[in-house]
Amino acid sequence: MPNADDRFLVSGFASPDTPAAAAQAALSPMIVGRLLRMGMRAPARPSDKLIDRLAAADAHDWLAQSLASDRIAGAASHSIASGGWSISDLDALKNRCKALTLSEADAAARLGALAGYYLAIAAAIVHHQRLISSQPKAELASLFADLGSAAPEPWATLLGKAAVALGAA
Amino acid sequence: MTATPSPTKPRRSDVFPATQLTWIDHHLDEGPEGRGAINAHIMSIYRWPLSVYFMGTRDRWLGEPDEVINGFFADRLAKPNFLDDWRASGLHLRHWLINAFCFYLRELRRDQARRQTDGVMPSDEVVFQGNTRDLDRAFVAGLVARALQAAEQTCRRQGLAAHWQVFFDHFVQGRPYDQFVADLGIDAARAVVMARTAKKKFQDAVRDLVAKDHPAGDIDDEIRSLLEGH
Repeated sequence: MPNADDRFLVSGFASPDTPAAAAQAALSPMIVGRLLRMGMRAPARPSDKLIDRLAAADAHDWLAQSLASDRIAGAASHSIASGGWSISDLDALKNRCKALTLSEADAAARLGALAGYYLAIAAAIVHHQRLISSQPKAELASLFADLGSAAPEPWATLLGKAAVALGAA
Repeated sequence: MTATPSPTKPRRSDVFPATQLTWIDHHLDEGPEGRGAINAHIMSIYRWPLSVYFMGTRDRWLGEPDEVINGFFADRLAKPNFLDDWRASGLHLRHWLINAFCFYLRELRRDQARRQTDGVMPSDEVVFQGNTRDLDRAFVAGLVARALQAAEQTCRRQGLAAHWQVFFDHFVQGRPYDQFVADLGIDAARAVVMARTAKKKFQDAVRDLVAKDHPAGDIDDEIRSLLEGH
């Protein structure tokens, strides 16, 4: 007899076009609850606009140009991801970008500064094992994973490593 | 074939404000082809909850669950106003369906009684014999399963099969990244990011299915309510 308490066999819905992986899954009520919870949207974060911008087709060029601005990281911006910046330089970059996110009139420039802010924090974690932000680790880990899923390389790898270092689920 | 709506019948876009038009409204306006898509959706999501309900009633003697539920879908989904009446009711679709199913079971009981007892009726009440919590739990299980299938199909279609595999292994099978990512030729940092991409597809699929059950509701509130009863 079917019972809602039973493990729910996804293959109960199997059809010839049912993807194999899903068809093999037996979902316990606990997993079902956890997966359903994923359907909820987190409250909007300031970084959501940055994630959307990073997902755009021209994101690679946009990010490179934004970071290379003298007001953000300048010509050496490309070496942030590869570990070429000292911890004090990264801390200064983070503070500079934070100020720009508050003072810039142009929305695109504010987003560029926000990118520089998070990349400075991520690089400090990955290359210097230092957390230069007071934000909770779990929040940052989740944020870096989200940013990494949208960002072009080499930033996606940097953000992914930072997320893992902070214990991203 | 693309069916043209009858000129004498108003389109849903003429009846409901554009902002309230839903996936179901749009498909109803497409004629028979759209109705087929709606019926397929309803049958894939609500068959399991109705089975759970049916097997918990005193009406199990009426037939095999699949047979009875197929009969219900064939009868009710063929009624032209069935879904319009649901929209007007303001109910969740699952609750509208279970109400209709209770009436359908009464019709079957009457038919059986006429055949077997020369019209002497047994208990002829239309009673919801379970509780909405059981129904909702079965609905949630089916919804999550369907969302997994839909998200996997989306990922494969968009060339993200590996992303889906990482999501599935980690979030559904519960395997830590470091236990399986080497087999996929990636490291944990890459896996975390790939899983997020697939997770977003899954989130979209869940929200889409929840919205179809109760178009007027706030999706996050609906999910919260389902989680409380789960």
